[in-house]
Amino acid sequence: MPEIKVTPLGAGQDVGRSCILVSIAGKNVMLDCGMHMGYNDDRRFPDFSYITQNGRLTDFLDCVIISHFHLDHCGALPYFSEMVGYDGPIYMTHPTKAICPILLEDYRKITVDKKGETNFFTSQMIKDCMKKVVAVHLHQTVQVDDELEIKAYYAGHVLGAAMFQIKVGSESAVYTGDYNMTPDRHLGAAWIDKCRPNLLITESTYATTIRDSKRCRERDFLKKVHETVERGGKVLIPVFALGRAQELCILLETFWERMNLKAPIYFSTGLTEKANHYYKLFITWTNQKIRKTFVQRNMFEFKHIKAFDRAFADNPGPMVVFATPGMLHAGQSLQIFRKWAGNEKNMVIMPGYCVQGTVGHKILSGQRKLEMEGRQILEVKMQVEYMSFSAHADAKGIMQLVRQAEPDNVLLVHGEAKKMEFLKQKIEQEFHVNCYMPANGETVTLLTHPNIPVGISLGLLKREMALGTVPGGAGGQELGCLNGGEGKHGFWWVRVSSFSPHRPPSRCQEAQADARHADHEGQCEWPLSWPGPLAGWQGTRGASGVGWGAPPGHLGRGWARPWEAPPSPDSSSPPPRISGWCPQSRPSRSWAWRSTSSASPAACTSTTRARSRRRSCACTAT
Amino acid sequence: MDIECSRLLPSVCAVLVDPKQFVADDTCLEKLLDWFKTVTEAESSLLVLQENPCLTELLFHVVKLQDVNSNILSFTLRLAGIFAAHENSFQYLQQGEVLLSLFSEAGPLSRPAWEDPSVRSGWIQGVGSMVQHERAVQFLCDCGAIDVIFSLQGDPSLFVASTASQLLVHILGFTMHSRRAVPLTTQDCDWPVCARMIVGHIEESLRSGTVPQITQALNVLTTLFGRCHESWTEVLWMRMNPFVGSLLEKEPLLAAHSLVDLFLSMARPQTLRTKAFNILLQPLACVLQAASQPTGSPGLLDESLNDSVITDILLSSKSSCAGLLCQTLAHLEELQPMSHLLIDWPHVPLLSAVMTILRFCSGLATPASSVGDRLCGILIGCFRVQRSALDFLGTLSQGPSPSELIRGVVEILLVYLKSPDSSPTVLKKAFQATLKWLLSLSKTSTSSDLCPQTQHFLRDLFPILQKRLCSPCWEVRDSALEFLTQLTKHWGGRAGFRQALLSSEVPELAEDLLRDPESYVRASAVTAMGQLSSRGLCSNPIGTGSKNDEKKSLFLELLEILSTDSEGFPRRAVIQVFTEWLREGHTDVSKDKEQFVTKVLQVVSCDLDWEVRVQGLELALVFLVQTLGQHETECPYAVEMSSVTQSTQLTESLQMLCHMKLFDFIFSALCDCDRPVARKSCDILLYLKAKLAHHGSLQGSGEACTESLGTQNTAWLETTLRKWKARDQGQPSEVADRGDCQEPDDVLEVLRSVDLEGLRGTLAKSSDHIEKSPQSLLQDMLATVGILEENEADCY
Repeated sequence: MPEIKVTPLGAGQDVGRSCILVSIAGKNVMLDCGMHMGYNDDRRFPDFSYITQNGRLTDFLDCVIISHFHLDHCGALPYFSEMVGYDGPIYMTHPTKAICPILLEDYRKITVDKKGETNFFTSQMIKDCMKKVVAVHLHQTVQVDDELEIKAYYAGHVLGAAMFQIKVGSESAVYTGDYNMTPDRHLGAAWIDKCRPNLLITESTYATTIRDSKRCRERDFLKKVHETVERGGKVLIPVFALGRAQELCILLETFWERMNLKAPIYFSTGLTEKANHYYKLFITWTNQKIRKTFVQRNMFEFKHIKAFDRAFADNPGPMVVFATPGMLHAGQSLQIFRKWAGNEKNMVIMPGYCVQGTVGHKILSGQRKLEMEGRQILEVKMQVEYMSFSAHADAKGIMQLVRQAEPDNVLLVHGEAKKMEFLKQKIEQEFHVNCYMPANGETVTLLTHPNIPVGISLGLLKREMALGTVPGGAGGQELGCLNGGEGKHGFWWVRVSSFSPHRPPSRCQEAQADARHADHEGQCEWPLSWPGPLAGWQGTRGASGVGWGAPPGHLGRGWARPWEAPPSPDSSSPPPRISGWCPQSRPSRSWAWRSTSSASPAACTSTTRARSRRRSCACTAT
Repeated sequence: MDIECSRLLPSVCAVLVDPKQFVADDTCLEKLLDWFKTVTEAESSLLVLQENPCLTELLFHVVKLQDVNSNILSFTLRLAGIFAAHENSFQYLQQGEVLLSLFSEAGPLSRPAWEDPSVRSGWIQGVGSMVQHERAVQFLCDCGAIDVIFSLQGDPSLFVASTASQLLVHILGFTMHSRRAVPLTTQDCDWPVCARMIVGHIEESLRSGTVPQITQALNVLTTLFGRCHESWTEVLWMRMNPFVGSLLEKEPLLAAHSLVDLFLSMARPQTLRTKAFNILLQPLACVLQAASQPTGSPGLLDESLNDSVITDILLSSKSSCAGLLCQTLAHLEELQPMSHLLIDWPHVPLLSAVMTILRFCSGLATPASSVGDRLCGILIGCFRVQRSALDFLGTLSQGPSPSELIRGVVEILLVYLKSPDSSPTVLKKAFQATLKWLLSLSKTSTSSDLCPQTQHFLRDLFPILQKRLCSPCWEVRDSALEFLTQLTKHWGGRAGFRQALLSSEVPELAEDLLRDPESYVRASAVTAMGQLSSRGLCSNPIGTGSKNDEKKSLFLELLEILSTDSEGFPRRAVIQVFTEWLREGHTDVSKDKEQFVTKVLQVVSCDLDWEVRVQGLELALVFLVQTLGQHETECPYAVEMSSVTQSTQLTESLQMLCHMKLFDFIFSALCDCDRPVARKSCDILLYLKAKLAHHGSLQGSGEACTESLGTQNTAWLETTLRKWKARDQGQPSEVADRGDCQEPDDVLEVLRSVDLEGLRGTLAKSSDHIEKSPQSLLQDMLATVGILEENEADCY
């Protein structure tokens, strides 16, 4: 019986150290390879011995996919590839490949700086690991081998973040990584087409939260910074090298410009140039506003933000400093904090979570007397603020994505058990699909019912149906589909006791559909320079050569659906559908649920029951 | 346990037993357990329990809570195990029936919390920690825990199931080890009770006919025979033999993989090893046979190959063929270093086989059979097999190969290096294999220069290297540069190599890559150019002066990278090259060392990357050693200079170092916020102090002497540095321009005043050693109680 197996080694009912093993039609894929920043020993990495007991890693795993550059998703990668011994392919998007080594280097340096931490990768290992990475474009179908293919979708969250569809034959799973369904200052919203995977593995950080508008948090942040600077205080914002720091820089830069403020803003590690470089390079991954204004002004070329020099910390008067590392556990941010902590006019804003064992964690938990070197006590009089700028989908966003992708099953990762439980029920109620939330080390096995395309002439089909020899033909319960080449073949589907054959879209209809897409180009917010296989597709689109279309041979594979264009990263909802497109020529919603193989009673899990419930809904719709 | 921790512990325990409270960070409990493990290993665990009754209360109360948090319950079980590992604590806890309430059927096993894998994991880890003495084993047998472990072998959580199997091995090993004096037979009555239970369970599982149970039993046996080689395992094997034997007779074979693993762990006799090795050779023998021409090269195996199973796997699909070949090649690669242990390591046929595979993969082979045809179709363009084969080919360079075959190796390597179809990862492996073969060829050469065969190879290689240095793919450019660096490092002095290199455009192309858009490539280009320059293979001299040459000198080019490159990797590479040049006495650098060092340090001191600054300090140290070391000689026959002369020379040297602003850099590094920089600076100053003390220069006079010796910290130094700066700014402009902001006396004052030894001790500690201390952990746990949950989930 075909099945999909999922075993989280990390991110199963917890946040941090994402690492999920998926076995789909005999292919083994590792989704993310993250580290836990709260540990200083081997526990920071996922326990890979559960893979190595199945033989050599490279033989067991067909590929590793990294969703984005955050360390809880990629931090263990050099360890895995250069120290544990994985030597196979690694996939990630182009921006992730470019930025990942910077974050890894940054963390390696902090770790080395802190000393006493062993079994950590070196700079050379990071480079060797990155050389094994195959970078992918959005919406590009990448053939890992003859059977396994993957495809990336825009996930928002951070620059280059992607959701990945993994497909073997007719079985597929989608892994979201971290994603954000609402656009922010520099990135667009996540989007995926109606790919109807057998399984959607989604993050659930904010499984029970409906988050306030990010604008409110931004306003709050600016108000606090402004007030502190106005009263002559200094603001310290500890950040990690790249990511959230750039978002906050844009915020302050715009605000400073608008308010004509003069207090200096500094960035401590020369990362402004670096960020500038990467955001320029991957401008197509940012939101529409940034792209549109890029020609006149690059949002990442900051007028007000200057490089920091250590001596500036002692300068009198107000200032704002972005300093690394983000948890106040070493280096410059900690040094500045020590200098400024004693003055109640100053403020430290922590824009992210801090693990135990860091000064950041201490001050966030309200501790105001900190022990320093030589039993000295540092009294923290400065104001301490925590402002989450993390860009995860909230409960509404997660539901929206499930609705968008229409999976057969959902599996929750990257969240807390209690919150997951709530969301699980919600998903099961609303979508009538099974929802799973395995703990780390637990395996979820899903039986799948892959479609088996069968070629049959329409005449024969009709005759057989009339005789009642075709499954479902004479009141059978099973639904099915037939698909063949050339015009004489047809689709068929059965609902309880009736069936209707449908002609597949003819070449002529396809051409008409293409023309309609072209008509709508002006309405679709489709970036001209969208990263992806667009250039390769343009050849099929006629003279205009602009906009989106289907690559040759993609129609009818249920994989890249040309009528569902990838959206602009700005839109929080899918792009407008083309009305007037012949509904019969498009596989109906029930297409993906139908199976020519019947499950044995023992194999009929609640998934099958849930599917049956949905079938009737879908059939009514069609 | 220190007093402060003891004081905080009751409050922490109170938080843990309170179901309304919330431990915000999931790592806290793990770290707490780490600490208890350290404490119980360092001092009497019984005393810890007695002096901290809150711990026993915690163990006792948590299990009774109705609404207990599963993480806390898991923590409690593990904590109990840590204490129970010590016999006296075990007895203490037993008296209070704490262990019974935690690990027997009356404990969490019968509660809904058991459904949570973290609780089961905590239970099994607790039991695992406990099994350090016989009383614990007896307790587990009596309370039914052994049966629970049996059932946990089939747990849905991989972690729990795996730990359960490991634990059974541990218990069996422990039980038998403690009874090793008693002679053992296969009779049940001879075995200790606990061992009897486990062995009986294994036997029952092997008989069960169900795959999961058989697999579990075989896994236990595999781990056991792999780990333990004591004599009782042979008796155990005699007991297990019939059961395992009957499994082999079943059709279809159940748990085949686990059976294979078991036999591999048992494979100690030489005959078995040889058989296993022969099996490993079969896929390659099949490949050789498929490719061999009628005149054919000798096969890998003596007997003619007739294993249709192997052939079927190879031909069934691309993935199964690639999988089998990759596994075979990887195993053989691991075995190669042990080839001397194998009587018949077939080096030559293996080399032929791997070359054949590489030919199949690149479409070069002319197969002689239909099997060969199909193999060729399957393998062509298969990167996975190419990578494994190239790895193995590189490994095979460590063996005696006939010259005809070497020619073949060279040809195939050139094909892969040249092929436009080679992926970056394949090319990297091809470069690595090429390097290994080139180096092995030079070893066999008797003359001081390269043999004609190698020189011929190089002539063909450099045009390809040129092409690869211009690849649009940064990974390829980088691999090519790394290859060039390694080759130059090993052969830079050999005429044949120099001639081949200089007659190519490789040095110019490598230099062009100093301006590559990819920082990794720039860094590799810097290293390569540094190496070429050191060996005099660089087209332009490094010339430290800023002459108005038409072409910028290499030094200036690298200096510009050091001062302007936005990425750390190239800057780090530059400073490493400069240090190496100084250390090895590069001709051009030696002409004006002072100017060279001054210019470099001027740039490095402003660098934001602490690794660049640390390397800059290394350069300063090399210069200091070279400067101050020249006043000494270790030669016993040398004429010793008078102490006055020595002292004068030392003062002059110090004066010169001050003029170079070397101490500006070192002192400022001592106050650096990045610990490794401060530590390196401290080490340099301690070296200097020792040097000067040797010459008596530290016995200062006047004002400096009023300072107490070595009691100041870096805050004092920072203030002093600011004071000096202000003083120098007040100097007439011509003095300030001279740049001598410090005088030797100032330096001596710092060396006398700052407590460098104390500072080194502090800097040797981790920068977060206070935050990582147990006391800090307990404080954090108490402080986070009641903190908003929002913070917790927000990882990024």
